[in-house]
Amino acid sequence: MHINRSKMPTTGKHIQLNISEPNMVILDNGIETYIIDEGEVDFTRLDFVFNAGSAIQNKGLIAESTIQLLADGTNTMSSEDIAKKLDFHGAIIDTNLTKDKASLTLYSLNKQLPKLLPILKDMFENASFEEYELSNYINRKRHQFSLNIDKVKFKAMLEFNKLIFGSDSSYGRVKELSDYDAVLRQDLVSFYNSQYTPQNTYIIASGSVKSDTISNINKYFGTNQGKPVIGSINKFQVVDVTSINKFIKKEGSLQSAIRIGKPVIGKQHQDYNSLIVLNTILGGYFGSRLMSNLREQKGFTYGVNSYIMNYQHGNYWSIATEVNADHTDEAIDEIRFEINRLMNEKVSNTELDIVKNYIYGTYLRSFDGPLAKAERFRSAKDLDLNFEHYVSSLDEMMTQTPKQLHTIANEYCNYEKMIVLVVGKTKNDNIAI
Amino acid sequence: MIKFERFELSNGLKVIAHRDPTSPIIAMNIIYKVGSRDESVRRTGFAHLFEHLMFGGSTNIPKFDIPLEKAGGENNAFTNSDFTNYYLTLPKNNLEVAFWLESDRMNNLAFSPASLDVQRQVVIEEFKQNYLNQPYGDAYLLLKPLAYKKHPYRWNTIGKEISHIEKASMNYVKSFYKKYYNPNNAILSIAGDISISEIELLSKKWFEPIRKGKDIDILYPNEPIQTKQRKKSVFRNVPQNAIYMAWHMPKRADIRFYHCDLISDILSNGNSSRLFRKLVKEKSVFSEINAFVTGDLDNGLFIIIGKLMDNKTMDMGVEAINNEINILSTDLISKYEHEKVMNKIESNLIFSQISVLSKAMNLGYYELLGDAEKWNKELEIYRSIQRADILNTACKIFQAKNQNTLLYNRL
Repeated sequence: MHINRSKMPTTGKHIQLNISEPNMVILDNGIETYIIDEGEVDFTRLDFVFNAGSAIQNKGLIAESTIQLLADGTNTMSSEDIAKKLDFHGAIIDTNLTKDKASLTLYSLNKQLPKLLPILKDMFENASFEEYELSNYINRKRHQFSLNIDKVKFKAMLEFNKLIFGSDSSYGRVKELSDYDAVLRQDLVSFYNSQYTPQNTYIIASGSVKSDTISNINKYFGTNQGKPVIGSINKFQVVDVTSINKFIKKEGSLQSAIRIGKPVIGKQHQDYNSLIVLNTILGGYFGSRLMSNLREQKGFTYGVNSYIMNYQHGNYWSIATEVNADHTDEAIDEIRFEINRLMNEKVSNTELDIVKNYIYGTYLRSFDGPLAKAERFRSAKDLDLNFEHYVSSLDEMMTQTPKQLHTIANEYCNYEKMIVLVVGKTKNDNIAI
Repeated sequence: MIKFERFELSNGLKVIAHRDPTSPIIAMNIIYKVGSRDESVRRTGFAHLFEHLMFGGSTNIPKFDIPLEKAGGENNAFTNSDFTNYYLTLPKNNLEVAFWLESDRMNNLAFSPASLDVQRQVVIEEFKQNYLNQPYGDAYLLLKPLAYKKHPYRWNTIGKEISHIEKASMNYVKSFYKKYYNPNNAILSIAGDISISEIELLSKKWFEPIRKGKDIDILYPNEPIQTKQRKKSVFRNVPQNAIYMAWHMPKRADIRFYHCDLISDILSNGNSSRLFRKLVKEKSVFSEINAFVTGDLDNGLFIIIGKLMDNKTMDMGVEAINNEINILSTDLISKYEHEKVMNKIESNLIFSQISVLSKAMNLGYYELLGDAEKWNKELEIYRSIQRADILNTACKIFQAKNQNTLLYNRL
């Protein structure tokens, strides 16, 4: 058979995203439960999402400790009882905390679910947060924190967050070592009582979701009417920030962590989809300009990327990389060059075509299967969006033109307005970045 | 139960295809049977560096990623001691692009000097980032040569030292490629909404013209049986003391591998596991502790790593671990624990059968172990294991003379 290896096989037309909005069931106490039932494997994923993110706490570490200590004892079960039962029935449990939400995800074989749901119910309604468990937890976490803070990457992540949102704002505050000494049992109890209520909860059930699973969800999570809220929760605070350069020196560092970025528009804004395309061109995929430049041409780094983070009350755009410390200054120069290039010249059709197809593929992958869909649904729901939003965003991204993008770049990509942070070393400690 | 079809091309390439009509995505996985155990002691880290070079252009495709991205695809790769694994996913109607891409780099590379220059630097950065520039990063660089004296597992996949990577030459790149990157040394597996006949057709079209390489028959030096306990102590600028312990254990294909895997689950899988319960929660000796098996194709290691709490000494930590090990070597585990670890194994196995990528990767991996069908038998094998088997294996493994301890002290 003769084959022509020099020619790429023709690619097919884009496949339509197969996503219909999940069915919503309202439990007896009003909790919204979204059902994504399309699995063939006898497995269910349950996401319990609470309005209990770190921006809501009025003291460091409270939101984090609360979600992570849910499984460490209730009024009737000790931490060991819970651990034994969850492990015995093969439960896989994940917790997650963002600035806005706290969540607990259970992965379970369908046959084990009836044994597991009552345990989760108890954790959500009667967690006891005993002093012993709390202090044990805090001691371990303090250790881990002091370990992490030694890494330029982790340090940069925290510092950059402060620079972006302002260190005194709800979004900008980050954990510090001293926070570990200040957490009190009462803080957790109040936070739990006010935030882990039916009014502050929604559920996503995905996988092979049987009808008896849905009735069990109602049976176990639909009866709690919540407790009267005592104490007040934090009021959301915003602080204005201006562009700043900051350098944190770390002796003996082989690598420098670089973060460059700024607050940006959110998903509802009309220019957002253009910005996502620009971001992908810049540093959003393996073949991006930053990767080609810093990694593939210069070998300064193992990886560099750029991304937009979305929260309910704020969004930011960031470039993140760890580079060979001897090339810190050159790496920053190259990043600036690539950002300016977005403003100075139009992207070619060839490059734009690759980026569009890459984005399309990413969408297709991220909606592949019920568990992946649950993930996507959750990030939409947390920003008060739905699946329809993804479909229209993708359509809009596919129609972007070089001219449009050039205009948008000139509006949003000005390097002079960006925040530049370096943790590590540079040639000159008083860098004027 | 994962159904699949399997065939071999005339050049020796093994192909496995699994049909999942529910996914819009196709996953393709290729395993080349070459890892860091195949390296010479003076050229360590080469298999992994080579993995990077596989993205630096083949005869007809100057950059692997560009056409793949154009087809909406994504890919990555990893190297370990035993093999090198490349995988990609893309929309199902671009299936042929995957065949074109992977077959071209199996057929011939471009061997661009620029690519070698840059990837050397990239790998050196990876070395620094993961092994030198973070706390405990060099622990494995120390632990492996403590445990192994003869077998090539004594160095890590990233390499023994940066200078080996700096010295990598184009001549060596070429001979390495010629020796290992051949159809008869590879396993191709595909999962997605495909028809088996289409996979046969495309495999024949794109892969069958590739010339077969020389058969490789490698004997790896046997690691002599350890006869004396080994200890090493180092001082580093880290926030807390840590203990690394390693015992020699049987290879992946040995039934006792499964015993060891279950032992590691009993010790540290989940919040009810013994090490977490007793040494983290009850006695607060460690802030975190983990037990796991390396799962290597040749005899591997059973490893325990613990980070000590500030108010505990190294001796207390070592003693606490040894106590738990001794209990496993003297008492049967309870029926409850036995059933618990089985249930966990079942959950994890079923969970790994959900995504097309995980299915393609696992089918390839089990074929490497000798038979892709083994994946379907895995649960049965675990279920056949009795409590007494676990006790017997624990007794053999956890002998003091088989133990290697690395004390990683805070400066």
